[in-house]
Amino acid sequence: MRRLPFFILAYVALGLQIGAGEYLKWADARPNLVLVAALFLALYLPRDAALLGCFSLGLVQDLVSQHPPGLYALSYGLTAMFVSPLTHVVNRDHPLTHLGLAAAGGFVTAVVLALHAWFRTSPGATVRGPLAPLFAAALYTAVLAPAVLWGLLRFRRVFAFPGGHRRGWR
Amino acid sequence: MRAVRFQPVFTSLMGLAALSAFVIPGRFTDRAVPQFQMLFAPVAWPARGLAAWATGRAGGVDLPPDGRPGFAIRAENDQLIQENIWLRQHLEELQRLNGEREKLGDLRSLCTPIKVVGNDAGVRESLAVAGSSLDGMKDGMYVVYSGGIVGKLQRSGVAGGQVQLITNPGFRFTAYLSGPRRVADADGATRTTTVRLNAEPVLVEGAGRQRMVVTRVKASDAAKWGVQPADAVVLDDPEWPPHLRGKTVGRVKAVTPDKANALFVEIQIAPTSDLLKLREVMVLTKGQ
Repeated sequence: MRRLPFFILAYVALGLQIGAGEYLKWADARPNLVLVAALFLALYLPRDAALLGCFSLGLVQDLVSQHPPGLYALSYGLTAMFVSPLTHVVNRDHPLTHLGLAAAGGFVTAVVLALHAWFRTSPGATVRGPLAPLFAAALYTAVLAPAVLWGLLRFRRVFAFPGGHRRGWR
Repeated sequence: MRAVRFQPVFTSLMGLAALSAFVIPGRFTDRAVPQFQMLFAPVAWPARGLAAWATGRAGGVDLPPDGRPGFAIRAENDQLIQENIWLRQHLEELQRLNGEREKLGDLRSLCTPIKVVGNDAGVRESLAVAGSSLDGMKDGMYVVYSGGIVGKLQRSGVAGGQVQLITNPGFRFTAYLSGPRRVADADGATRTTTVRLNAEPVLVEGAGRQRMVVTRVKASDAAKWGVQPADAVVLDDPEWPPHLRGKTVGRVKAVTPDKANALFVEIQIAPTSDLLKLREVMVLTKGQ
């Protein structure tokens, strides 16, 4: 896979998440466009590259958010570990696959964020943030994923994904 | 990389990520995290502007009817009209901006305006701002806007910073409640005036979803104070700069019974404006 399109994808996904994420909110649920980009990598990259790419994407998202570094990196790494083995048994281009895997990835991310919110509240604080919006955001992201991935698949050639037998980056 | 060498590396990375997220205290990891929110501004700013326009405005600009003959005169008219609209729009924007800053009063001279690039890339309630440590921004600086308090600057770096909002879970400060009430004068006449409702400040905590709450308030105390929706919540925290004490942080939204204990109530508070949609904030860089 070419590196430059990956960096552009990461940059645009994060920029859109930072700039327009709040305005795309629906009933406290904010979609996670970066997760959809991570899912795109997990579906079409070889396993090792997918794991590293998704982890890196999550790490950069941590660095431009208020979360501690490693939270989204861990979430997207786990998502890639779950999605990558399934790419051999599912139709990677089918919208239902995108919907299901985005929901699963969103759920994994929501669980990690919820665990962090539950166990790492500020010292002395009696109020924890709401957890329901995390899971609502997972569903919302899953609903948007087929459309976003359909758009990304129009540019599949730009990314030059290698065949199934190759394992790394170009 | 072969699976034999890659797997231990990736497992180590995931372990480090889990350690950083769940074990290592934030005060250590925050120092090691570089800040480069501004680098995403070329995408975030136009996306935010476009999204704000799409959600907040309707309709377009109609050109006035042009009765003058001649293709050249019509084309010149169109060009002049477009320039006029552009100039007027920018003048209105500058007037709006100046009007917002004027509302700060004496605070304006102590503050530095910075643009909001976007919101938190995760689910926290924070703003990504274009203020740089090279411009004098430092962690812990307080942030305000024309409608009151926004929060505190955190993780400021060379390429941007993050403002933790007062509605973010974990953000705490003390405040008192205030509202218009009818009071009797010495001569017996009654008049409406703004009064402080509680002598002792209460602890206000961020609760997410653009809300704050005051918990552990006895129902009898709340009844004695006469707290009502729309009462103002005013900052009264000795840890905050004197310039900011007395500033409104929000309005009471509702007073509801505490689900855990019927003897207590919970006071729900909403900020004056939607803090997540602010386009510019003011950082208190002097007088702290």
